[in-house]
Amino acid sequence: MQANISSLFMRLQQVPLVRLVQSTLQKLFPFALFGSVIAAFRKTVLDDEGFINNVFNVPAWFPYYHAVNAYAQTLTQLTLGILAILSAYYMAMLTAKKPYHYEAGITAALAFIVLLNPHRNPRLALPSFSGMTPFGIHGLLLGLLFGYLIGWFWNWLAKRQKRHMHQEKVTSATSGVILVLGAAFLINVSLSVVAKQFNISTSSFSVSGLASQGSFLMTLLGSIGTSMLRWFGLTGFFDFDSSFTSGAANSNLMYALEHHSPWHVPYPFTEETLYDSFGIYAGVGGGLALIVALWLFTRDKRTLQISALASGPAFFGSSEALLIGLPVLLNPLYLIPFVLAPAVNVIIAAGLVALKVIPPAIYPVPIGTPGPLIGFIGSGGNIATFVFGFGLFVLDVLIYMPFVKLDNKMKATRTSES
Amino acid sequence: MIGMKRKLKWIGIFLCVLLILSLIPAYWWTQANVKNMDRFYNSKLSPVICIPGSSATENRFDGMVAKINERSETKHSLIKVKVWNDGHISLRGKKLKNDNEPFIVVGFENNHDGYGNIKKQANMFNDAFSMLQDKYRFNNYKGIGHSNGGLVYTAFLENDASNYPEVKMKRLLTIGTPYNFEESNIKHRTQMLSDFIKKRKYLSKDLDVYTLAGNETYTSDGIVPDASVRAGKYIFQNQTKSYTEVTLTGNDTQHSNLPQNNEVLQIIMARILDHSGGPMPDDPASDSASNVKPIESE
Repeated sequence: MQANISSLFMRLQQVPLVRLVQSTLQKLFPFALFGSVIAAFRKTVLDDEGFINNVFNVPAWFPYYHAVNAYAQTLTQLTLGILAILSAYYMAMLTAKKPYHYEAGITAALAFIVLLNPHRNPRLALPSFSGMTPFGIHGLLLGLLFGYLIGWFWNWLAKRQKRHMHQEKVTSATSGVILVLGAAFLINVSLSVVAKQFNISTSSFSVSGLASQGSFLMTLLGSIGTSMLRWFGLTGFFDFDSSFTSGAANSNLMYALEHHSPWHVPYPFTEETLYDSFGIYAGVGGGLALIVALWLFTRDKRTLQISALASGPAFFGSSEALLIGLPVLLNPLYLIPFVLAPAVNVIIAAGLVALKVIPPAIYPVPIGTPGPLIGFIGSGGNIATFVFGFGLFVLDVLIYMPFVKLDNKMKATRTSES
Repeated sequence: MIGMKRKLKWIGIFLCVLLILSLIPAYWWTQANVKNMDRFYNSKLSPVICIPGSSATENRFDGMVAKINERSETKHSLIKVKVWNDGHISLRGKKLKNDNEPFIVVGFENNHDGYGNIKKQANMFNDAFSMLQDKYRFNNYKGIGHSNGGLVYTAFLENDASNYPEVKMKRLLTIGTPYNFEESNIKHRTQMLSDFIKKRKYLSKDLDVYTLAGNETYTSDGIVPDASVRAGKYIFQNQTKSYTEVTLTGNDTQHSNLPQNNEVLQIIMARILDHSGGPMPDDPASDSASNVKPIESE
């Protein structure tokens, strides 16, 4: 049985597209790491809504507070903010064969920008499920697919050139560049026209409203859906760092303030009380639990290094480096625990809230708060919430354990084969 | 590999210790935050914030508040705030314990006339307002502006009030406010009036506005032309929830006497204050006062 599963994952990882995606994501790791360190620092220390900012009153003592914040924002934009462009670049470069792999990478990156250029029509909402820029991590999937396509195009061009020996390499490369950029421009313009014609805007894609109505089932489905979307690199229904609050969360807060207590609020099973407070106790998809599982069980040195480097930002809720470096994103091996761990947490936490062991965590929590503290702060400082969350963390490590061991086994077979 | 795992163990222990230690400040923060929100949402405080006109000080409304206190059962506190040119803000007076409607007067060291100074005073008022909101945590308030004080209020409401989305101004009364300065021909719009009209869309749709004009002669209160007060309709009418013009004639209708005018006091008690001994806003009897001519527009 276990051998079966092992060989299934082995075969999955042999699929060329899967391998290309994994190599591309590994190439992105330095950018993702630098970006997520800066992003985590900015979010928690420099943002007005940030955790350390609020708890330690940072604006009162931090020198050049606003200037540093502005620089950090720029640096985040130039690393995390262009991950999708970089993924298109590396994907095309790794897909295309010589002699055109550089041309493939460059044209893929440029055409990706031209294709999704928001300046032509800022309301265009195709690339991601949110209104956020499609060039960051949320456009990763699109960037990978686009890069793959462009890589194939250059391979086709190279083959064609070989068939017609009379054609010069120079003309071939030039026509390639013109074709790719020209097509991207034309598609961009026609998409803008279509979007304007039918008045498509980002707001028409708001799914999150549905998932935030405060019933247990919707919250559980929302948690599962969010983890899956995040595994694809897309925006989830739930986002702890988002500044939007649902109607249910607002009525909870009003009720608690009126009655001076968080118990007995009208909607005890919301995104805030279950997913934010317990689902991501160990980070998105239980990322921190994965790090601990790796520290305990992995035998691979690169994996260990990545998890060590990515642990800092992941602790403060910026898990991009971890998700991209291992990678976890689009990695068939980690899909099950990535979705399962938060869902199990949400179910158990709902039971604890229903049995009135812990109060629903309904008070505001600063962004960039470490996962283990979200429920604690949200419950107004209920220590039982923190302790039960820690138990769930241990459970998450156990959920990840067999998959880390499976990874060990697969890597061992691969090295013995080669 | 073993050495690296040992190093990792220390990173892990470090993060755990950090986590446990941050429980304490996190606890303090969330407790303070909850308490703060509690105070804000459960606040019954609804101050009347007054701005005097040019050349007047934070003492401008002393007589008015004293007269209102004489006539009403509940005593209103009088708190005086002054914003100095160097940016510091001083505060005198205390809020009485059982008073949920204190009068707060905000005066400025720079109390000169002119559009440039009005804009400066609006910024200074914003600073004072932020300080007051921090201190008293009220979630709604009423406003009274005498003369240019009404202009400062209009500038504040159009430019800065959006900084306090959860603090609602319920009613605004401007007394003898020259929305078009001393211009008596409405066809000649001053720069200030055109700016106010341009930004009127930022005014709250929940606000009830009353403008009060004194007519000593047929055309002015001795200082401000009637047409300039009435220019207020181009700013508020059809933008705020309601806009009511009131014209007073008879005794004490000279520009500077208006705040102590008997009818003005009655209007403040009936229309601006929440609970007072006077007739309630919806009581038709309150319109029977002989020389008050309300013109309502929706």
